[in-house]
Amino acid sequence: MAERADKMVTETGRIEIRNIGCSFKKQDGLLMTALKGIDLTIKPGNFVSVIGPSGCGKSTLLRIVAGLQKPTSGEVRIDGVPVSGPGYERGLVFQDPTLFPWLTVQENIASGLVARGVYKTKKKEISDYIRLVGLEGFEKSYPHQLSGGMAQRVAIARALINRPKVLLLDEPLGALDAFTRIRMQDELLRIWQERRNTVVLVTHDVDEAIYLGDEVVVMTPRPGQVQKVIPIELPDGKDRGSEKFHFLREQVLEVLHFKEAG
Amino acid sequence: MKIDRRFRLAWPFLALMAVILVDRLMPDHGFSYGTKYWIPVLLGVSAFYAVLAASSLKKENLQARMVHRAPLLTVIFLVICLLDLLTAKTSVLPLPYFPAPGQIFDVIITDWKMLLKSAAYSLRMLGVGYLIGASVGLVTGVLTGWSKRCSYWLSPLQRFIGPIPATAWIPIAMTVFPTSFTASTFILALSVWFPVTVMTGSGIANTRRSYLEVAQTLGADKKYLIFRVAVPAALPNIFIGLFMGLGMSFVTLVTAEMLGVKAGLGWYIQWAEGWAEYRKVYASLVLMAVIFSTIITLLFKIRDKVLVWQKGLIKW
Repeated sequence: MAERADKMVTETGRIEIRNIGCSFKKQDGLLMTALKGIDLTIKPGNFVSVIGPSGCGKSTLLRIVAGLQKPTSGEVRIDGVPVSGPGYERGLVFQDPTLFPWLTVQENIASGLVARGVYKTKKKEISDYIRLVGLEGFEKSYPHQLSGGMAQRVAIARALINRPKVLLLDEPLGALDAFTRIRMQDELLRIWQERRNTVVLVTHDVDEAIYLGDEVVVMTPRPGQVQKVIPIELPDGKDRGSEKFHFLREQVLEVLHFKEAG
Repeated sequence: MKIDRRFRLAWPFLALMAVILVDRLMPDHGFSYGTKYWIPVLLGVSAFYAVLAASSLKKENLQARMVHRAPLLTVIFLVICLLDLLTAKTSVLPLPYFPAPGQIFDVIITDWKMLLKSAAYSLRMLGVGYLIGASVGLVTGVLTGWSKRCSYWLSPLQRFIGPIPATAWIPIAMTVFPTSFTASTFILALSVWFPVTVMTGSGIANTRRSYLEVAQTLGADKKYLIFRVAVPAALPNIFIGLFMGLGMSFVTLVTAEMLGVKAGLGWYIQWAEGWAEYRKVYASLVLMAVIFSTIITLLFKIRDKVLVWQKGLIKW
């Protein structure tokens, strides 16, 4: 892939989340507030993990950034432009890979190019992305023939081929077994280091949040608010066994009230 | 000691011999239609089978397939022999209502021109009616499945008109349309349209939301969402509609031919019955079985091609 294009990506992708609130009407007619007053700025090229108890609205926040859901109040801006609906400059990967089962691996990865009408000029890149996620030899396979980890790689490649300014990951590794999960975390890190676009990862796995993120955003239980933003500084590199890593884990757990302070 | 499975290859041949010997050696009971082509053809089939069986002794693949089919073939030939015994040989099942297998076979050959013409007429009407009905059904199905407004205006019509058996329209259609061919084609198309539009509509409307959402984050426009997400996602359903429509179209075709149209295999049955020519009735039935079964097989083949991506397809 061209280096110049990669650098261009790094300079864009600033996410500004301003006073986002979101409430739903429940079945009994009562209003449920999922998100309240979320303010967050994510710098271009940063990898931010969002963590919080289940039901805290972190997935809703991601869907709002993606433009799939309208907030009740507030605004999201990408590089200063307000988000009004879904668009290819914000790629999204769900926990369920949601591959199109009627398309092969190759066609799934290419679907973003087809959707944007740039397939003819960019189809040469498809093989680069297949290589990027290590799926050479599976180009012609259909999704039902893939393992969970492989399917999620396809979903990641499919989101990346449009060169989104922002990559939104909604518990992308949540359904994988522990071994595959750790391997995929390294894979994600490698891909991000290669491409340096802004990534927002929603997870409920503390280690994953620390291991992958430059920053960990900890959210409160419902209604979801930003409780604390913890910068992750691991000068000795990403090592799950290091003392600093251990310290950060304690810190996150403490904010999440799983550990007594002190 | 286990008997060599290859001995099974001889069973169908022996059964064939039984058919021939019974037919030749036993005199027919009372009045009977003679047969001219039955025995020569059976002899031909026997010779062909013998050659095939002999050559399969050297080819593992062919042999396995033939050994697998041998019991079924044997039973088929024995049933033919039994039918011959019950009809021509003993008149337990009397003429003219129950002709012997050989007599039916002979009529297919002697009356081939008429049968071929009738089959061609039936196929023409089936082809035209099915294509029109299926195409219109696909269009209305996509419209009602995708657009709330289309569903609002079209669904009541669909729910009201659809369940009426299309053949009930025959008297009206025959007076409204200029020719019986156009009238029957319309009825046939109507009978195909209903299941196709219902299944297509529900398939499109039930497209998984997450497919549409993912496509939108990939930059899809409305055209892409409809034709490259919703329609492929609905394809398994669409094929169910196409199969149901095909079954309906057979019913409608034959009924229309028996009631109004002056051509086709359905008409041929009606006409033969008028002359108490039950051999011809059966001949027409045999032809229908062959033609309709081939068409269904064809649609299954098409589906298997189109839906390769689906796991666990129903086999035909």
